[in-house]
Amino acid sequence: MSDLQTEMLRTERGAIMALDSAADVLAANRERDVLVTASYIGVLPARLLREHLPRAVIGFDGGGGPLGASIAGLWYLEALNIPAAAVDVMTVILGDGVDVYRTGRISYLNRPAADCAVRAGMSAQEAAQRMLDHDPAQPGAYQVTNRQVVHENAQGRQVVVTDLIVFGTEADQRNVLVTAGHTGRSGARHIIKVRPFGFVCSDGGRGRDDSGMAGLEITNAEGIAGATVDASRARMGDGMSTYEDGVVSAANELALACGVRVGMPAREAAVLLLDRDPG
Amino acid sequence: MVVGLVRQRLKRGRQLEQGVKAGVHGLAQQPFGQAHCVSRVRRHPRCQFVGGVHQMLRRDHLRYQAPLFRLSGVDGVAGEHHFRCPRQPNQPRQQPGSTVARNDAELDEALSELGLFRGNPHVAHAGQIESGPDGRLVVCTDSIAFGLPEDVRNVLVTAGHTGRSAVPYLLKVRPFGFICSDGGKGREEAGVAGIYVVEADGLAGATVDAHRARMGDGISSYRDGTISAVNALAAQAGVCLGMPAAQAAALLVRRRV
Repeated sequence: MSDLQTEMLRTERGAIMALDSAADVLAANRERDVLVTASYIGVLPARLLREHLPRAVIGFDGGGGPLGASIAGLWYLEALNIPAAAVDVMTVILGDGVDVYRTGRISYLNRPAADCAVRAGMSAQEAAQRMLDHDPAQPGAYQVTNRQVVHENAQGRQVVVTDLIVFGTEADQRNVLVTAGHTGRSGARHIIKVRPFGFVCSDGGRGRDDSGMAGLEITNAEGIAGATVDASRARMGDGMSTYEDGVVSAANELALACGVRVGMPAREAAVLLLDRDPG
Repeated sequence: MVVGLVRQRLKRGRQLEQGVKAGVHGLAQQPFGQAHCVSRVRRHPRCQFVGGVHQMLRRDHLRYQAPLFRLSGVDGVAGEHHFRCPRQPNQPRQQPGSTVARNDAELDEALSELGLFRGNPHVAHAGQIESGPDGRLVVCTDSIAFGLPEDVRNVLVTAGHTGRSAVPYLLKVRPFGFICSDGGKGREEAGVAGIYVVEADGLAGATVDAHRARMGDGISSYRDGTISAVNALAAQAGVCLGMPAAQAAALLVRRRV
C-alpha cells in the first residue's frame, strides 16, 4: 500500500487505513477498507472519496461550520449508502490520520454508520472497527422512518416520533405524531389521511403567507388538534429534533383549547395533546 | 469605474454568454452587506485597505470551461471597504470613489456566473480578483490541491484546513500568498500549523475561522472569512487577526518582496 496510508488493522473483510488527507484514497480501498482521514468531512472531501468508494469513512467535523458545511459530506455519503462519521475537531491533530484514529471522538454520523452500530461519543477506533465488521442496511426511502415511541399515558395513547407524517400508520389514530415535515396544504392532506389523535410538525420556515402552517386550519376543520414548531430551531426531516429541540410556533384552535401555547417546548405540547379530552 | 461585465454561465453541455454593460455602475457606492463581522479581535493599526484595480473571474471544471472572462475595469474589490479598519480620506494610494461594493446577492451572482475554467477534473469552484499593476491575481478555489503552476505569482484563497497535510500542497504550488481555513483549529491548533511551517520557505499566509466561512467553498473563505491566524510574512504585509479575508487577500497580493 502507498506510504500515504497507514494500516491500523486488517481482517478478512478489509483494513482500517489512516490517511492524512482524503485526497490520498486509492483504488485498492474500494468497497473493502475503512478510511480514517484527517480531513474535514464536507462535500469536497466526500467527492474525492467517492472516486474509489471505500467501505466507510471517518473525518473531522471542523466545528460544523456555517450551514453545516464541514460535515455536509456525511449526507453526500449517506446517499451512496457509505457509512461515515465525524470526530470532534478538538480531539484530533488535523492532518494526522493516525492521531484521528487513536484519539478522535465521534460527534456526528450518518444513517449507514448508525446501521453499523456507530454512536456519537464513541472513540474513532471503536467506530472504525464497527464499520469494518458490519454492513449497513439498504433500506428503501420509505423504510427509513426513525419511528420511536417516547411517551405513553394511562390510556395507552402514545407520543410517536417519526421523520415525516407520511410514515404515520393506522395505529396512530390514537396517538400523537411528532414529525419533521412542513404543515402546508400538502402536509395537511397526509395528516387527514393518517388522522392522528394529535400532531406536532414543522412550520417549514413558514414561507410566503405563512403557507408552511396553513394545514393547521385545514386539520382543525377535520377535528384534528395540532401545532407546528419553528424550523429555525428544530431540524427538518428529523422527528427527534422536533421533539427535543422544537419550540411551538403556531397551534390550531383544538390544540390551543387543550393548553398548547406558542413558545412552548414541543415535548410539552405533545403531552398536552395526548391527554386532551376528545370530547 | 466599471466599464463592462462579461458573464458566462457554465453548465455541463452548454455555455451561456452574456454581455452586460449597464447596471453595474449603480452598484459602485453601495455598502457591502455581509462582512462587518467579528469585532472582538484586536485590531492591528495597519488594518487599512488600499485600493486598486481588480478583476473578477471564476474558475470551474476544466472540461467545461472556456477562456477567461472578467469583470474588467473594476476600481476596487467587492467588500473591501466594509471593514472595521475604515479607510482614511488621506490614505496613500487610495482612489476616492474607487470602491465597487455590492450586497451579498449581487456578489453571489457575479461570482457564480463569471467563469474561467481551469485544467482540473474536479469541481473547483473559484473566482479570481486581479489586483495591482503587476497583474497578480487573487484566486479563489475550493482546495489548495487545485493550485496551478501559474499561481506562484498569485494569492490563493482556498477552503481546506492548514494543518501539516496542507504543507506539501502549499510548497508544491508556492503561491505568492495564501489564505486557507483553520479547519476549526483542532487540538493544539493543528489546523493552522501549516502557515508557520511554510513561512521558512517564504510563503506569506493566513487562515480564516471555519466557524464563519464554509469549508470546501473558496468563495465563502473570501467573502465570509475572518482571519484567525497569520504567519510573520503575512503580518509584515499588514494582515492581522480579525481582518476580513478579502482585505487580507488584497494586502497579500500587493505585498513587496
